[in-house]
Amino acid sequence: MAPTEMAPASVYRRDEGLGVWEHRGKVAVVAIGQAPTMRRWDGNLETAIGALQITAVERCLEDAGITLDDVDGVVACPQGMGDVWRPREYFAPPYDSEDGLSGVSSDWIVANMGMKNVKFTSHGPGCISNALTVAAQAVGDGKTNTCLVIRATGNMPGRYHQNPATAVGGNGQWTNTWGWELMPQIAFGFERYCEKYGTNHDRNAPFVVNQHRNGLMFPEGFYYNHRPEPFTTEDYLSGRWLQWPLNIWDADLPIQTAVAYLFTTPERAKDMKQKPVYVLNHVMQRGTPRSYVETLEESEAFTDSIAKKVLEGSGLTPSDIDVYNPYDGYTLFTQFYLEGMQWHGVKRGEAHDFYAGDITVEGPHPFSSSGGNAGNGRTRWWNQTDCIQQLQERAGKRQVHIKNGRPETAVAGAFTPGTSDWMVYGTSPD
Amino acid sequence: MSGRGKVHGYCVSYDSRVMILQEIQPFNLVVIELDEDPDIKMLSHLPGTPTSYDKNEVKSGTPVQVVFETTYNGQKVAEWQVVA
Repeated sequence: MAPTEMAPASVYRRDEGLGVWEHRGKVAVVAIGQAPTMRRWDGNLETAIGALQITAVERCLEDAGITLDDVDGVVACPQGMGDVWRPREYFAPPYDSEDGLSGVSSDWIVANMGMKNVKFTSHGPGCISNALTVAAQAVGDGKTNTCLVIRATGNMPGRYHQNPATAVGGNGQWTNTWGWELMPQIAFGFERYCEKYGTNHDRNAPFVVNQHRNGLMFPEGFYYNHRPEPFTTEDYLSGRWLQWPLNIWDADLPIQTAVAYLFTTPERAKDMKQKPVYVLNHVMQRGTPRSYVETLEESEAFTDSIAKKVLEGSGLTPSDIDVYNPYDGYTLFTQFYLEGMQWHGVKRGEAHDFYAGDITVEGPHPFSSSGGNAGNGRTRWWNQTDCIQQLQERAGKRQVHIKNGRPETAVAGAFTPGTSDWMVYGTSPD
Repeated sequence: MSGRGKVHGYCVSYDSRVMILQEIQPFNLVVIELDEDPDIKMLSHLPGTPTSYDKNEVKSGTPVQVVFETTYNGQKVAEWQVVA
């Protein structure tokens, strides 16, 4: 097979007005495989993210009750979120390039696991959420019947994502010169939010504390396994500033790990071990800010559009959504998604009042039941895993108490208001 | 263009990823909107204005004026100062 390419624009549902997704309820997610988590790569090839990706696939196949030979499709989000390994020397194959060390492609996993029957591969950039949407469309279109979706991400030794440039050209001359990049953008957007709605950073504490609480009920997550100490309001409020008003607890902890999901048709799912979760819609959001700075008004418009598309394509209303896991890495933009969806009636400017109420998984408003990146480490997929586990009634202590612990619909997506991809799940195809 | 604008919003950088800027931390990172077209945004460290966010030194709507500062390599970059 030729090297796998990024999915074409035609597979994504980007625009408003597309109507109900043509494959609504005709694609199922059945299984999940999560690799162990670690803070950094220790340089041992047995814990390279390629090896962790293989572990995740093996666990996913076991979860589904199928074999490698049953797999006929692979969609990967092929780059990790950490730094690359170069300029350090590579290793003997299969670790003789970045593929397997700082990211894992479809081609790498097919070759190194010896997948003989794969006829479809594709790539989705940025987030597992994007790759999930690609797989959902591919299964619906009949391009693959039993499709793995994979992503591995890592954390190399040394400080994360430092920019050593001493000169800059192109678009960066208008931003990097002053140190503007994603983190200041998020901090600025939150500062504008606080000014517009008369709130402040301290009032984000209940959300972040609850994210950590949920994370300590997520056995696959980083904090559950490595830092199981309770996280308090005082911990949050004493966090050092990275970009005021964004502190270190608003950012997610880079980790080393991998995941795999199994997508299939409802007919094929009947033979697998786990209950099928049906895909009701998938959505792409690509908003273009007027300038290099995304304004508060643009962030709100983008998240309004996400909500419209999520609802339109699935046929759901906000009150139909039982489990809502919008992205939290950084925690200072999650309120845009909450308010855009008006989940549990939360309107613009009301998120901090909502956070001050009961948002625990045991209560009536179990917001972000996954604990997200804040509660589990930086992957961008805990929210997707939680949605699937909640609908399969195997979220353990995180199982939400609404509908007697049997939620029927779930929504998750990542990453920013302007650039994100979303999945809508249900327990019924109808 | 008049070279005048207003503070639109800001943050304070304590841990920039741009390593060359880490030696001047913390610094204001201010979004400026131009008087002639507020949709056009520019960035500034707002030289001359302290970074003490808790004293509310930087306020949105504050009038600013462009100045040109020379960088370490001799290039001129647009900066903005609060109009007294």
